[in-house]
Amino acid sequence: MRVLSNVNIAGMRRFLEEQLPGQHMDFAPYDQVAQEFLDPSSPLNTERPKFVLVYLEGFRLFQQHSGEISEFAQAVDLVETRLKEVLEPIGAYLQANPERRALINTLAYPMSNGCHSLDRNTRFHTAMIDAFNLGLSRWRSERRIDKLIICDWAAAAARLGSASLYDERLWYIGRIPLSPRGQEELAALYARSIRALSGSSKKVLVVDLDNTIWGGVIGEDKMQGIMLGEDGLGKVYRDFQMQLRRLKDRGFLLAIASKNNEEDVDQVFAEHPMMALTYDDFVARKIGWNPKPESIAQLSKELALGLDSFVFVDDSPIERGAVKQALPDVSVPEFPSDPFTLNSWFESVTAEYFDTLMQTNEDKHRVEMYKADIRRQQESGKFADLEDYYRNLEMEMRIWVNHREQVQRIAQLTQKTNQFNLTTRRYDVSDIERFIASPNVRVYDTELVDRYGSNGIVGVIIAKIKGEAAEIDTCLLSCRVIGRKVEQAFFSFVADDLAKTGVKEIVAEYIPTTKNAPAEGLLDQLGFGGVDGLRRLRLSPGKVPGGIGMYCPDYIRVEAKAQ
Amino acid sequence: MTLDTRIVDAVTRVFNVDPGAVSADLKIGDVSEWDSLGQLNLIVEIESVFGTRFDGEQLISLNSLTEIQKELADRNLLSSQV
Repeated sequence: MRVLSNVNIAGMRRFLEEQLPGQHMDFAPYDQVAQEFLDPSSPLNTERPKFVLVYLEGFRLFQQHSGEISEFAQAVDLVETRLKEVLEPIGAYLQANPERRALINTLAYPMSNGCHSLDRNTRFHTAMIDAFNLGLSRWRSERRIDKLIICDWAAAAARLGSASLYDERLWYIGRIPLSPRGQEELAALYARSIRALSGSSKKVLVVDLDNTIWGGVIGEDKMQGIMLGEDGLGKVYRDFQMQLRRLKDRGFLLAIASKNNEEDVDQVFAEHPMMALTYDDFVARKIGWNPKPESIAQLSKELALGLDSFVFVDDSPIERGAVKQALPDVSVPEFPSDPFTLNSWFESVTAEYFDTLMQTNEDKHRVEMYKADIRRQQESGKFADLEDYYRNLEMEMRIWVNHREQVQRIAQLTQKTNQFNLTTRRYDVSDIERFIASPNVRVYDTELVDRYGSNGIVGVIIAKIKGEAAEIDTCLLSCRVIGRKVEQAFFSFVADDLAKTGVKEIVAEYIPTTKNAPAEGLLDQLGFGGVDGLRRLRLSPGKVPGGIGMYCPDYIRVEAKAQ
Repeated sequence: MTLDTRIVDAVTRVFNVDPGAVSADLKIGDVSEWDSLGQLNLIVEIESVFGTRFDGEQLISLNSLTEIQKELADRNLLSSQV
C-alpha cells in the first residue's frame, strides 16, 4: 500500500505494520497527493499498490483561504473547489486501475479554529469541515466511485477527543499534526477498512448468557432476579441485546454457548418481558454443561465455518482462557470489568471484527439459511448413500446471465468467498457492472433452492471470451453449498451456454491461497486437461442435442432465467 | 549510571531494537531509527510512560538517554535511586 497525505504522517508506519502484519507499505513525501495520482511516473502509477491511503488534514486543506471567507456562499464554493481538487484525480485513478482501492478520511475539526465562538455564525470553518465530509459521501455516491472507501476519522476524533489525538508541538517542529496516540488510532481506522475489504471479517459471534446478555445468574437469581429492563444496569444489558440483534441484521451469525440448565434459559427466552433477543435470532445454541471449546468446535462443524470466523464473548476469564487455549483460531476479546461500559466496549468489538462495507438481501436472511443448513445436515444422516440424500433435497438451480439486479450480491460473493474459490479475485459493484456491460464478458450467478427453502445466490462464474476461447476469470461457490455437486451442474450450464456463443475451448487456472484448498480438485473433476497453470477444456458439441455433453447430475434441476 | 527500565522499554518499543543494545550513552543518530522523527516519537512515548509533558523546545533538545534520564530525575519521576 502507499500512503499519501498533505501533512507528515510517516510516524503512523509502525502502527500500521502492527495492525496489518505482512503488508508492504511506503509513504509518499508529504503534500504530493494530487501529483501522485496525476503524474504517470509517480510510484502510485508505476508500482502497483493494492491500497492507496489518503490522509487529509482539514486545517491544511482550508488554511490558505481562511482569512478571506466572510460570506457563506464563499465557504460553499471553496468546499466544492477542494472536493473537486481532491476527488477528481482519485476518481480518475481508480477508474484507470480498477483492481485498486483508495481510502480517504473524513476531516476532524481543526485544533484551534473550531473553538472560535462565532465560527458557526460568521467564519464557517467548522461548517466547511462538515460540508467537505458530507461532500465525500455525496461524490462517492453520485459518481459511483465505490472503490473509494471513506474512513470516518471525524467520528473517531469526536469519540476519542481531539485533544489527545493532535499535538501542536509536533506540528510546528515536524509538520506532524497527530500525536502518536492519534497516529495509532488513525492506523487502526484504516486497518479496519482494509480488513473488511479483504474479506477477513469474522462471521459468527458466540455469546455466553449469565452476566453477559443479562445481569446475574439465572440458575440462582431466577427470572425475577436477573437484571434486564429499562433502568440502570438492566438497560445496559437490554441495549447490549439490541446491539446483538443489529449485528444479526447486518448478516452476522449469533450463537449461544452457555453453562446452564436448558429449562431455565428456555423460560427466560419465552417469558422474560424485557428480552430483546429471541431464540430465532440465534443460528444455534449449545446450552448445557459441556466444555465451551467443545461447544464452539461443534458449532464450527455444523455451520461449516472455520474456527477463525468465530468470536467468543464471555464475562468469565476462565471460560475465555479455556477457549483461547484449546481453540487458538477463535478470537476472544477481553470483557469489560465494569458492566456499565458493556455497550461502548462492544462497539469497538464490532468495529474490529464485524466491519462490512455493504449489505445485501442475503445478509438479512442468513440466519434462516444457516438454520436450514443445520436441518439438512441432521437429515443427511438418515440416508443410505449421498445420492439418495441429494435426491431427497429436491435441488433446483436458477441461473442468470449478466444479472443486473444482483450486482451487489455478486460483488459480495467475490469479496467474501475464501474456500471454494478458484482464483480469489475480489471485485466490487462497479467491476461487476463493467463486466456485465462488456460484450466479451459473461457473468453467471446461481440461486439454489431446495426443500428447505432458498439458499440465496450462492455461486458466480465470470467468463471472458476471447475469440473461440473463454477464460474463467472467477468461479466460486458459497461454502454452504459445497459437496452437493452443485458446482458440476453450474459449470455444465455455463459450458453449454458458452458453446452456444461459439466458444470451443475453456481455459481456467487454480490460484492457490491459504484457504482455497476445497477448490483445488475442481478442474480435475470437470475434466480439464493439464496439471498446473492454465488448463484447458475442449468443448465437443453433439454429445447431447443442443449441449456439450458435460455431466450434470440428474437430481439437480437447472432452470435458465432470462436476462 | 544505570537506566530506568521504563526508559529502556520505551526505546525498545519505539525503535524496535534489542533491549541489550540500549545503553545510557545512547543518543540521536546512534541507531538508524533514532532520526529527527524518531526523536519526537521517543520523547512523546516517554511523556506518556512517565505521565509528564515537556516543552516544545525540549522535544528537540532532550536527544540522549542521559539527558532524558536527568530531566526525569529533576522532575522527581524516577523511583528512589537509579
